[in-house]
Amino acid sequence: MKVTYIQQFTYRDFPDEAGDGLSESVVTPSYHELVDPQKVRGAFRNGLDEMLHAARAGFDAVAVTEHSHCTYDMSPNPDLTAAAFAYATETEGLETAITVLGRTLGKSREPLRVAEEYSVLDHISGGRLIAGFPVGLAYDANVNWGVPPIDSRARYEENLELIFRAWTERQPFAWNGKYAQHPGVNIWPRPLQGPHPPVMISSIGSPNTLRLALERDFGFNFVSIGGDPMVAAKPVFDQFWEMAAAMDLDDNPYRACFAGFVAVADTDAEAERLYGKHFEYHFGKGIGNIPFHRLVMPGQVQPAALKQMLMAGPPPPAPPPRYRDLLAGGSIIAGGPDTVREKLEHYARTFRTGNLNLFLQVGSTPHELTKSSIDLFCGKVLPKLRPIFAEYDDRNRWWPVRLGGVAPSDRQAPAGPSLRAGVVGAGR
Amino acid sequence: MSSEAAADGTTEVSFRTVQVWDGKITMRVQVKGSGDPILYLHPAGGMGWDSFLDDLATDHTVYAPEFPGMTPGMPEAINHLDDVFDIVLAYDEALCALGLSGLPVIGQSFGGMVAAELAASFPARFTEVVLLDPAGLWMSTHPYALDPLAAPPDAVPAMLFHDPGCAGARAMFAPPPDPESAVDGIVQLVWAIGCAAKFMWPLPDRGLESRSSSFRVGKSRFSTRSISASPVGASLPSASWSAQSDQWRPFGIGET
Repeated sequence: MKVTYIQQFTYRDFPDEAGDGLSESVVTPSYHELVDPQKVRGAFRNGLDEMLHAARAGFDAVAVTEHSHCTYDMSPNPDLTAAAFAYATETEGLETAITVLGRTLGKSREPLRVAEEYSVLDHISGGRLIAGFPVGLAYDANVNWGVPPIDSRARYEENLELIFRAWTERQPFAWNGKYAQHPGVNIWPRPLQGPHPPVMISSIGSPNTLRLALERDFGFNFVSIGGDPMVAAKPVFDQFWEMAAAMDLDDNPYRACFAGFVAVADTDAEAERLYGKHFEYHFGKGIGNIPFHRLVMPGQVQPAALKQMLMAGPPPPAPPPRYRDLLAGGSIIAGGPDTVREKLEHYARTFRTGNLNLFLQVGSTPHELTKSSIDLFCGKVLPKLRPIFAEYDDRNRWWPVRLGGVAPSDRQAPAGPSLRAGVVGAGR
Repeated sequence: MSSEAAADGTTEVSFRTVQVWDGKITMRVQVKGSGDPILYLHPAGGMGWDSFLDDLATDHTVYAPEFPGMTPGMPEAINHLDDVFDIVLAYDEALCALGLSGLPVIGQSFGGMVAAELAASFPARFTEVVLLDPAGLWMSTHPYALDPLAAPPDAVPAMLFHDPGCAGARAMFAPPPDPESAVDGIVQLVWAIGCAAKFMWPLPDRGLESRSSSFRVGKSRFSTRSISASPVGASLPSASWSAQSDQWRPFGIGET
C-alpha cells in the first residue's frame, strides 16, 4: 500500500458567522472583507511545514492540488508549492514522492508550460514526481478561466496528447492543434524519469476518464466532495475493475487510488472533541460550500448522461453538516488509530485500491493539531496499512523508479506509431 | 413540403432538412405559415413557437432553422462548428439550399448574434434585419456576462424578465406535468445552451463590432450605437434596419 498526504492551502480563520461574503467558497467569496493577509501568509507557511512534517513522519508521497478563486485551496498553480517541497526534501534526503494531483488540463491554455514545469519538478526532486492531469471542475475551468464548458474535454485531451509528445519525442516537432499551435516543440528540460514520470488521473468518476486511464495505463484517483464512499465510490471502482477485465487488463491494485478526509486522535471521543469543529468548518465553509451549479455547467455533460443525472434526482438540500453526521455518513474518516485503520483497510480492500490519498489538514485544523494527527497516523495506522497488497510491490508501474516503482508500460506513451515517428503536424 | 391548415385557421409546423458542411450536418428547419418568407433565428435555449411567431406566421412563411447540435437526437452536430465563421458558412449553405434570399431576418438573443454575423458577411441577402435583444456586442455601459448560464436555476427568471412573475415568464419556466417529459425538456434546454455557449462563453463577443463595418446592407453601419436604446429589464436593447430607409432604429421590447 502507498499512502499519500494531501496538502491544500486553506484559509483557516474565517469567523463563525462569515456572512454573505462567503455565501459560496468559490468564485465570489469576498477577499478583502473576509481575510487577514497575515493569516493567508500563515496558511502557506503552515501548509509547507505540514508537507515537510508528513514527509519526515513517513508518508510515501505528498500531494498538492490546483484550484483558483477558491477559499479551501489557494493554489492557482500547485507546481509552486511542489517546487519548494521538492527542493526541501532533496536537501534533507527524504525519499518521498511528490504528486501534483493536477495541473487541470481542461482549463490550461499553456500545456507546454505544464510539460516544462513538470519536467523541472522532476529534476529538482531527482525523479520523484508523479504527474497528475485532471480535467478541472466547472467553476475553475469554465467560470474562472472562461473555457466554454463544451470544450473542456476536447481541450483536456489535446493538451494531454501535446504534453506526452513534448516529453517523449526525441526530435522537435510541429503541433497544429485546435487549441494550441507551435511551429517547433522542443521543451527544455525533458523529464528526468524516462520515458516520463508516472501519471495519475484524478476524476469524480466519469466513464470517459475511467476508460482513458485504463487504455493508457494511467493511475486513477477517485475524488469525491463528500458522501458515503460505499455509495459514491463503490460503483465507480466496480465499474473501473469491470472495464479493466473487459479490456483484458491486469487487476493490479496500484492502478487505483481512493481519497479521503482523515483525522486521528488517541480515541474516538477525543477525535470528536479535537477535530469536530474543524471538519464542520471544512464542510460548512469550504469544500462543502460549493453550489451544484458550480460543479456542472451546460454543455459539459452529454444529453444522455445528463438525463441519467436528472432522473436520479437533485442532491438533497444540505443543512450545515455536524461532525457526527459526517462521520456516520462516511464523508470523513476520523477517530482513534484502530477506527481509522479499520475503515481505511475496509475501503482499500473493497475498492481494490493500492493507493490512499489522505487529507489530514482539513478546514480550520490548526498547525500543531495537524502535526499531531500526522504523527499518530504515521505511528499507529500507517504501519498496519503498508502490508496490504504488498504482493504487488514489485509491479508498481505508477510509482517513481527511484522510490521502488517499475518503469511505465509502452501504452502510456502517445497514441500511435505515427506520432512517435515524429511526423510534423499532429493536428486534429 | 406542405403545411396543413389547423382547425383554428393557423397552420401546423412542418419540418425540412438540408445537408450542409460537406454532408456532415443535417440542419432541420421548422416552417410555418403562408405568405412572403421571413427568416427567424432562435435564442440560445433552442427553437420554440410562441404567440409572437404564430402572429408572424399568419401573413408570412416563417423559416426557423434549428442551430446544429440543438435538434433532438443529433447533439453531436455541434462538434463540426468551431467558430463564428463556421456558423456563418453553414447557415449560408442552408439558406442557399432552401432558396432563401432577399428576405427579412429576425434574430433573437443568440439568434440575433447569428443574424448580425450573417448580415455582416452576406449583406445582400436581407432586405431587413431585426435584432431582438441580440448577443454579440460588448457594451461597457451594459456589461453582460451571460449570468444565467452560471447561475443557480432558481435565480434565472429574474435575470431574464423584468417581472419574473408575469404570465409569460411563468409559462416559460412551468415544467411539463409528466416527469419524464420534464426531464427531457430540461436536458434539451441545457444542451442547447451549452451549444450556444461554445460561441458566447465567457463573454458574448467574438468580434462582431469590428466586422460590422462591412455591414453594408445599406450605408448605415451597425454598431453598439445602433442598439443603444434603454434596456428593458435585464435584457439587451433591440434594433432594426431596413433597406428602404437605410437607418438603424433602436426600440424597446414592448414594441415587438
